[in-house]
Amino acid sequence: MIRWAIRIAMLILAGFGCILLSAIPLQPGAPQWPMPDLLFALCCYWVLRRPDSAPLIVVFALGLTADMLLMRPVGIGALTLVLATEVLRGQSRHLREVPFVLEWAIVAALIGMGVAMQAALIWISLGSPPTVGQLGRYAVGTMLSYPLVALICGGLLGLRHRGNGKLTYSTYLGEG
Amino acid sequence: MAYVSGQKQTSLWRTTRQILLGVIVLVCLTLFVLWRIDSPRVERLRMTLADVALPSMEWTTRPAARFTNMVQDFQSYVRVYEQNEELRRELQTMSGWREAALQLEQRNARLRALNNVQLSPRATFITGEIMADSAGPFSRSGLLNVGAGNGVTDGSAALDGLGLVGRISGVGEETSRVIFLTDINSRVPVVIQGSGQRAILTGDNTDAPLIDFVEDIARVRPGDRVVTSGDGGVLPADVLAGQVIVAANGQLRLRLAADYDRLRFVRILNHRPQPTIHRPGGLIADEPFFFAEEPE
Repeated sequence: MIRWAIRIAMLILAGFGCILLSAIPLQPGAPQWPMPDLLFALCCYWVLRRPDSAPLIVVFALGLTADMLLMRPVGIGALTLVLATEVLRGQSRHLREVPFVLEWAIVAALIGMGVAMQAALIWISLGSPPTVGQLGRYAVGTMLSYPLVALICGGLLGLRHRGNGKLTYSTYLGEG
Repeated sequence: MAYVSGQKQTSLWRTTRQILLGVIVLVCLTLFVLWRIDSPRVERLRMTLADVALPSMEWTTRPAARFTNMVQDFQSYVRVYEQNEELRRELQTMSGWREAALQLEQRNARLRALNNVQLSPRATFITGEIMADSAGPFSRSGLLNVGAGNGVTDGSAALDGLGLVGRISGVGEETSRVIFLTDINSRVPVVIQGSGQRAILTGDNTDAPLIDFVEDIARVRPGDRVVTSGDGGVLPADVLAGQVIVAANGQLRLRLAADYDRLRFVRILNHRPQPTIHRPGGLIADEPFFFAEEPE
């Protein structure tokens, strides 16, 4: 129980870290390449590894905070994040056996659909969405960031699939 | 609890989850619709949140930004000799310009004295540092570390040393948000000097915003200076925004005067709009009294 709470706290901290990382003003005026949506990649990875320690409410709260702080359209970033993680959560048991490349492809497809949905919602509400090129670069950047996030979460935080034989810190936590 | 997993998931728990998901989707859509309809209120909420979060951002983003700057500085350090030569050459030309500027300043002062021009003493400025930026493709804006407590007001012009950067949109107690001219929602009324035509500067998330609603494009030349017109009373008039460039497809775009590549410190111009005259002065009576009794 305590370990479960610790892992949720870890998700919250990592999520806030992702938001802060995106908010660093490297080239505030003329960004050459939009910052990838690290929070999206993080939540996808987390939900696939530990569906029970990434509660819906926490994911939603993180998404909304990111929307607010990163000055994105309010609400729809959180909406795509919640929907995508719910899709992955439903399939997490089947996706345990697939190789990482296939998992990456599935997450990439979700990222693409999420970005398209956000642009569509802005367009439907008579706003002016960014051009296809900008959205595409954003989506591709997020897709490419997924293995990196996986590497950091799997390596540094020790977040891997449960029960892979060895007793790592995460499996130790996972038993709890 | 979510801790219960596997086959222990009861149908009751599953139904609760479904309802929770539905509620969350509804909340998201409501927030989005609210943001689209009544943006200022949601923006105020956003600024309140930023006010809370920025202090924690400050000690993470500032060192990171400093570090990248140091890397860039180090790269320029490598070719210090070439730079030295370059600077010497530039200095020689600059000293010529300095002489010209001094002469012009004296002449300007003489002419001003002849004209008895009154410059507005009420335009003061506050300098802030960009602490965070919006990193996605949906907007181009930054969070500054000065806010209402420092005297920043909503709608003020933000400049760097060279030209207009954007406009303040959203003020918290200790933070404020500057929306850049390149942002997709930025619309600024401008005047194209040279032909004196009015236009609207429309951001589209590219580095060179579009100059829209120009009456006679044929009279605009590339290189014409573009300044704010002050129409609408939000931004002050005659702030330099940039120069006209013509894109390959014939569109007029703006090369921004502000140095967006090295944006770090921003000046916020506190400008009080000129009082507008919308009724006759006190000397002229409001009602005609010629055919009635004289007023006391």
